[in-house]
Amino acid sequence: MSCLEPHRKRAFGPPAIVPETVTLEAQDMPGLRPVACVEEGAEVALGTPVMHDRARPAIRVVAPVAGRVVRVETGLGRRVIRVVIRPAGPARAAPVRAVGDTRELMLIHGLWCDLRTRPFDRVPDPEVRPKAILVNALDGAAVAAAQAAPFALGHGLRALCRLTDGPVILCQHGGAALAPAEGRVELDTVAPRHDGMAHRLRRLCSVAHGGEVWTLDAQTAIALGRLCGEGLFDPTRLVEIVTPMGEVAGLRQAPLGADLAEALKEAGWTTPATRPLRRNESRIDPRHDAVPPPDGALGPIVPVPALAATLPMRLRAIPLLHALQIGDAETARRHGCLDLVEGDMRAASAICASGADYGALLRRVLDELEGER
Amino acid sequence: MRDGSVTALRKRAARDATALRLIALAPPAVILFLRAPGTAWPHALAVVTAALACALIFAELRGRGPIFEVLVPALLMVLFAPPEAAPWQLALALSLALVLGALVFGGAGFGFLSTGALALALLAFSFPPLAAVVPETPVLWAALPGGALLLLAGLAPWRVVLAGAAGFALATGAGGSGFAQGAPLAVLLVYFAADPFGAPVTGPGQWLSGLMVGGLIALLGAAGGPGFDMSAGVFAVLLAGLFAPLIDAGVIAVADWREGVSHG
Repeated sequence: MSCLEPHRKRAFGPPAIVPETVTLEAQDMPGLRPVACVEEGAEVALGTPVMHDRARPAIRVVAPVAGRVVRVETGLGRRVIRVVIRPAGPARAAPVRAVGDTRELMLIHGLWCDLRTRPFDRVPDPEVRPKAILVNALDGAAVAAAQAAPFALGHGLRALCRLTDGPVILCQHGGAALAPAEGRVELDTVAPRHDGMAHRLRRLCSVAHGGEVWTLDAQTAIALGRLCGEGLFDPTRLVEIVTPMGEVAGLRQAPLGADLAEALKEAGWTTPATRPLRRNESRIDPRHDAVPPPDGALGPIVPVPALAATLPMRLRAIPLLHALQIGDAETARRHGCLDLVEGDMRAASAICASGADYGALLRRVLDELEGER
Repeated sequence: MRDGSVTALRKRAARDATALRLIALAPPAVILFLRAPGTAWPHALAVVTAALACALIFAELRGRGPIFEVLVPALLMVLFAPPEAAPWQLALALSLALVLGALVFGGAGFGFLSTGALALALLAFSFPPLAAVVPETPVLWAALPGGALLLLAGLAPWRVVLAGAAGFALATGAGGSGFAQGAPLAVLLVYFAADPFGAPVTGPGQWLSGLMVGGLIALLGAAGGPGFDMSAGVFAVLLAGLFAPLIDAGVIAVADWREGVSHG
């Protein structure tokens, strides 16, 4: 890891996954039209651009490992779907020439695609300045990574301050502060165990009445900090794997896009298919990967408090779910759906008896609202 | 997950709503069958047949729908209908209530009224002397644990129950309410006023609706002399249920206005 960290907790970190293949999905660049910039069979080095946005080529995805491109799948109009790389060796951080400001660094090293906007959950436009940046240190993998690299996290947070005129807020679940709060870096250490980024956003800087906020995972901030502070490009991320019983099987370290099938089999999953580590994914839970129910007619919403508590909308939670079910975008916007993204709706879909996939319903409404802008 | 059992119950409550509500109603029904088998069995046979028939016909017509939710109002009907009512009268009132209160809207949960209260009110409308009655004391006792289960699971909004009791106490002057008044009031509030589909869904709305139910019970029951009148209670619930969507809309409009003020 880093040579600047004075006292690292673990000498070698969690066990690393050495994948057979690394798959970079174009789905991980929501809102963009990615095109491939490598050919099948080409050799790529760590950090070589693999795909970029057609309209803004500066936004790009880079190779997380050195190896050979074995497949480039494209769809209509040269639009790339995924790029598969066979790594030549294990992924590890490598020294790079880190020049330029935060924006350039993040664009050059493919970290920009880890940023997401709220509303709409898109990769942000580099020209925009958000009103705040929220850093997600809510899950186990992010906390473990932050505890192993507090200096890099601090560096990263300070670097992020240059992207916004507002605060950079590190969101964590109680516990000791993972990074010092200084300057425009703020900490949000409210303790409830089951709230998510949507609750924090709603409370700290809601975008329901306009404005744009960016969110990113703490591990991306650490990667950025390492890039600025030590000149190291680290393409690996920690990931928490959950067994089918719902217990945490443990942390693993894997490069972005690594095939996790082997690790999942060890965790007791019955039929793990090829399952690449997606961008910003730090927890693999079989219950989240479950296939959504076939869409027949939806049942009634039973308005229980447990359902309302999954959303940060307080008294508007049930009316919002009603609006999503009937696809009423204007009412949903009035109830604050701009603060939400698909991932926030998982708990509601699991608890609600209607069988609705609220993630998909929300996406439909958000697409409609985005089109109206 | 390391959730406690209560948390697990509350998370499962929405999916198992029908089962939980039937479990809550099972003990009083059993006691009723043991104490008055002569009237309870024909009543139960009539209402369950009518309810399932309506639900089946609508399920067939729409090609969808679980049908067992209709057993909840059916059981409420058996428990609270007057013993002198004929089985066909109960069946008729319940069928009408189910069709008008739930099935034409798309099934249980899509309507906006408590179907049990609607059925009892329709019975009183259609056959005037047959007003809802307070069941016998052992039956009331047996209904209380089920009520606690519903409150715990979140299937009966507690704010409605609390505000209903407060409203009744305020309107009647809070005097002299022992078990004879308290238990029937509690049962009425939990099983009828705090119907998950009939009550408002916003917190302040639930308080308002509960206060309204409590006040109306006292107001409507005052004509029949002091004490608790089940029939008045049923009408109070129905009236408050009619206002529930309006109350929710009002609460949200006020919240919108306040947010608008604070955001400029």
